[in-house]
Amino acid sequence: MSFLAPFALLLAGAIAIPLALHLLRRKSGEHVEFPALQYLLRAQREFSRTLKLRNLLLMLIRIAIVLALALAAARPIGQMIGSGHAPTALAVVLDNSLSTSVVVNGQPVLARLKDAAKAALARAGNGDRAWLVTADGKVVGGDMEAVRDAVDRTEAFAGAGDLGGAVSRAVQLVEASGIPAHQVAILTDGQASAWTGVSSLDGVSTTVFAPDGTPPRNRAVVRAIPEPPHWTPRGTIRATTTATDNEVVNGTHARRAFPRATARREGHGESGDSSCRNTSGKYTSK
Amino acid sequence: MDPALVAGLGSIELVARRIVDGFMQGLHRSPRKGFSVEFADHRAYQPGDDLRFIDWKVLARTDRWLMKMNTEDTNLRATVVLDVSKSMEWSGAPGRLTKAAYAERLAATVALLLLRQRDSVGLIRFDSEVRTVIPPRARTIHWHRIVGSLMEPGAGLASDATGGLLAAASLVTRPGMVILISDLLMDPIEVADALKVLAGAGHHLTVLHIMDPAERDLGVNAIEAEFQDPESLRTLAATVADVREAYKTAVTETIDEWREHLSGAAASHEIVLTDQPFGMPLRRAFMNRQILP
Repeated sequence: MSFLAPFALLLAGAIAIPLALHLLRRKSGEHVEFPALQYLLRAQREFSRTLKLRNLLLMLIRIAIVLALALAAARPIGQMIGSGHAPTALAVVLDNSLSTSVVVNGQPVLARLKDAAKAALARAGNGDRAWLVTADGKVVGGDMEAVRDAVDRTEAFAGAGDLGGAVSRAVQLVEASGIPAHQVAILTDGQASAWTGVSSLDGVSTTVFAPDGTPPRNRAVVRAIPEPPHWTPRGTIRATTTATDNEVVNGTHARRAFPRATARREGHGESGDSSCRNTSGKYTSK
Repeated sequence: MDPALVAGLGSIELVARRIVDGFMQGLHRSPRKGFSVEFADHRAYQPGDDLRFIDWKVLARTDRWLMKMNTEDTNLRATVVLDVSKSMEWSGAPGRLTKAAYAERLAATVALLLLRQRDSVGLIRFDSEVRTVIPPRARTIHWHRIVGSLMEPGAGLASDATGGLLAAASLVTRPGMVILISDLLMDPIEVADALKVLAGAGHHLTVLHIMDPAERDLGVNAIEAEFQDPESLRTLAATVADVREAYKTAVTETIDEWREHLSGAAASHEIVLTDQPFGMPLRRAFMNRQILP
């Protein structure tokens, strides 16, 4: 379990209050003149053990309440058995910029982000509302099933997108929902190029998911040679890419235009030529 | 009727008259046996007895020599010993009489009942010391003196019932009746010892234990409170709901202890709640013993 606001755990120090109340004995309360005090003293004396036990229990309950409040204020993150939540307006911001199409460990980053988005939507209940906002500015709302379908259909687009704008849009959606509890989930590969500006969250609870592990190296296409030089549908393109470590990877494209592209590279980063071909309208490289 | 309503009708004098008018009239019966008009019992003849009191009819029928014992009508000498300490100046509810106000009206009522029957009645008021001593007299005008004394301020900080009871013992030398009216917030052993002295002198003893209903069941309108004894000024913080049941048990146990100590001193004990009509404690306290004032 982790905490979104761990400093709120300092509130747990407030357990000193019930402790002090118990140890110092309260002097607060109404002042009552009562001549039959001797009966009261006798009652206290004869039943003091029961009263002490009850007071101790009361103190423990008060301490538990303070601890629970501090824990709640720290906003713990974790899944517990049987846990539920109040009706929540949930906006999932899905980064589908071109960089999420990169393949890591045999799987595109976008696929992992989509899995995380579906996991977030799966925790939503009947009283919740959900929206999907993608980096290319598209918004899908409505029932939960429609949003899940939209997540499934989301593909990387050829561009960096405006993730900051998508977050702002998500915040506006949850705030205009009329539901008191707001939550924005940002699912991104963490590429700086997708963030064009600073987004205001307006105090909306926000969770950011980014894939763990070492990010793939950035590469650049430094040379592309069509073969034959005059392009034909059966021709290929021999491309040469380079990375910051001066590693050069050569590849060969089988077709000219790939509007929706998912790149997969085989050969485990081995330098040299690699050929690319198109499969069922998707960009696949080999 | 509600004692607070009755008390609102006028002064102690007026209130006591109303209560007595509605209570009862008639002669009390003396506990002392003598040779008077009304038959009480037989005893065996002893040489030297007055032959006038031999039951000749029994002798004729059974040949047994028995003396007729008859009830003697006497003038009772009663002393009301009234607690006027600080603890009596308390009421558990705004519209209710304080224990002291209730006890004063009760004392005035008892005094008037006795005087109307041509008995003698005296009054002793005490708090930390004996405040007032009015010797028993049987004149009707004597009641005004008692009522005037009841209106005097008292309310010292402590209760010394022993001093008041011993003053009563010295005041009434002939066997009579002593009525202690107090909230009994004091040591039962000391009081019982003083009562034993009176019982030894042949007095009939009655203790009217004045309690406010809020004292009986801790009927305090507070969730948590700091309670203070107005006499000792001791304080105790308590949560009312927590201690209420324990408090009731403590009150019951204390009352049982008082009854035990007082029965050892041959004194009758009656709880008198300040929201009860005045006639009820009078009937219970005196009719049970068949010694009607």
